[in-house]
Amino acid sequence: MDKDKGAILVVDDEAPVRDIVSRMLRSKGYECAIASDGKEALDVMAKRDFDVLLLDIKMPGLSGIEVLPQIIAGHPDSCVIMATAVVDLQAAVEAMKLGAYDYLTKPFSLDTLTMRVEKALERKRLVKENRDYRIRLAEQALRESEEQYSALVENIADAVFRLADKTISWCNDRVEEIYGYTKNELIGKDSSFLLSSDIGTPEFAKLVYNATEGGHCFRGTTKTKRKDETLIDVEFSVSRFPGKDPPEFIAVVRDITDRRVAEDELKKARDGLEIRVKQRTAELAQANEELRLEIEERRRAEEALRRNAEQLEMKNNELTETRRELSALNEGLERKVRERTAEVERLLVQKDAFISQLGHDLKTPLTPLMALLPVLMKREQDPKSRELLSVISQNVNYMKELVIKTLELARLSRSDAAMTFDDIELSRQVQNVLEESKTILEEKRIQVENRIDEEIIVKADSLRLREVLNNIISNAVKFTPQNGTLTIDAKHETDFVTVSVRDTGIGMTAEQISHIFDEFYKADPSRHELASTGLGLSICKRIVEKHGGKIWASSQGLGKGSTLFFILRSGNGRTERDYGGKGR
Amino acid sequence: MRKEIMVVDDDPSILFTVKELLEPAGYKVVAVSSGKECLTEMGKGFKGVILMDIMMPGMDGWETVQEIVDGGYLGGNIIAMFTARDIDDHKMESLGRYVTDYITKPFDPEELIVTIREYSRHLA
Repeated sequence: MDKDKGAILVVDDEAPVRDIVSRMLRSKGYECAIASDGKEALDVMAKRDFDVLLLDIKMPGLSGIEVLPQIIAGHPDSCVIMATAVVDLQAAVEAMKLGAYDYLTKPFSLDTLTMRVEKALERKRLVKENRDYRIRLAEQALRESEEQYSALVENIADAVFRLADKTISWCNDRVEEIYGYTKNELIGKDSSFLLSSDIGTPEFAKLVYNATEGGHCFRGTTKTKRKDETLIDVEFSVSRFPGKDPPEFIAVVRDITDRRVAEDELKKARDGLEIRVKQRTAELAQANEELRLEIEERRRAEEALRRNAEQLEMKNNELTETRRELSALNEGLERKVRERTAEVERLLVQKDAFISQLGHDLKTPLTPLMALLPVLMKREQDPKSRELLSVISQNVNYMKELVIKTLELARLSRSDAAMTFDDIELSRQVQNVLEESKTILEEKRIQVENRIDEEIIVKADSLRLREVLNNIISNAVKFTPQNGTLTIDAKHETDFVTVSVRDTGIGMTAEQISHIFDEFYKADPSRHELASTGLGLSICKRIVEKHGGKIWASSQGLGKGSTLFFILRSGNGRTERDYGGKGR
Repeated sequence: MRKEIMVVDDDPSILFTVKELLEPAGYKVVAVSSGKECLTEMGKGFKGVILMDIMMPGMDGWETVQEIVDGGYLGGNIIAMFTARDIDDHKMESLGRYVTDYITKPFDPEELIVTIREYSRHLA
């Protein structure tokens, strides 16, 4: 039996007919089942489907026409061919109206039957093919739609729930990530927890219910709890499926915690920024205030400075005035000084002239005194008178000495005092002077050392030099006690010769040293020695200065001796010897 | 050896002193107190050593010398100038050649005698 040829149920109350027909159909390769009335046919068909039904119209019990509606309703795919006698054509037409496909008039030949069955099968096949095609198309469209939908739902970042009234009937994978529950834990649960406690209340559900009525979408943001109790921020959107009762909803939930955090951070940053701006503003305000104070301070300082400057200006003016007065005073003073100087110079000239005049005037009366006293002394025989004459003679000599030295000093003061410079052998000159003082040196038993190098030549006025040496040596002898030592030395230095005369005498104090070259100065005014005029060293000083030299004294103090130094220009002797000359 | 000496000085002490010193030594001393008197003595034919003071009232020593020269009396005489001062260079330059010596006051009596003796010998 070929199953593909089709399954046919023969329903007839007459057994012979069922047998012949089924035998005929099986012979043609069809699968064939039989039923004796409508009720049996329904029972058989309940067990399996048949492609074609050969249904006898007239049957006892439930007839074909009676059972037809049930069959068509229960098995729309089955193709019903009504079998009828000629007399029942009206019934056949009625059956066709009820949904039967065809009819056969009994008796029918095998060919007719086969042809009619084949035709029915063909129709059924066509109907089925048509239906299958349509179903395939619909399925394909559905599949594509589902794929698209699934891809959409599973790929979006949001959790998507389908709610049957308040119960979760479906959800996408994303739910697990957002809520931390597995799908299985969620499906079938009450949905109120999904949007946290404060809005997951009946009131909220009612709000959602009302808000979504008429196809509106309800959107909002809230906080909700995950499975692990952590709170997350969510944005939700709830829509109602149209035409469902009880209502169904689709809820889309998006985790916006990160966004919130970002927003919070942004807000915090903004707040921080604001605080910083405020702080900065405050700082700026303070800086501004400080600056203002500083400017104020500066201004006051400038004011003070200005006042100071004004005072200074006044002081300056006063000073200028004072300076002018001083200048005038000074000019007056200078004029006076000039006048006084001129006066002094005039007086000095006058003094020198006076000294000169006096000296010369004294010389004349001295002449007979000095000339006649020796005559008188020669003649006088009385010893007492001779003694008196001797005292007179000594005083006359002292007076003459004073007069001569005073005149000498006055002459040296004159700028035109004549000097004749020659090369002089210093050592020999010293020796000559020592010869002249021989008597007194021997009297006092003073040892003299002339250490001057015989080669040393000085440039000097011979007579004046002699006078200098005489004065210095006699001075030294005067202040050197018995058995003392006089040391005369000279040091040659390129252009100059320094002469030193050292004694072991009574020495001098610094005060005395500073005055010994003053005119008429005596180191010890209590001593009235007739041999000392107090002019000797003054004359020496004038002479040495006239030579372009210098004279000074030193002493280690009283009782420690004194040394007199003077500098003269050196003569040509050295140069002559240096060039091979014989010297002197 | 001529032993005539003329001393010309306005100071009587000097005239006296010179006489006191020289007369005991055998000199004839003519003492006059002015240039004018000196010239009078010259006019009378004095020959010898003339000691002439420079500073004198009226005609001074140099003027007197000039007059002696001008009067032609210089020959056979020696003139020595007595002076208490530095010699006036200008005068000495013009008249110095008629003068033999300068004797500075105050003089040493011994030296004066020696000097005068020397000049007297020259005049002999």
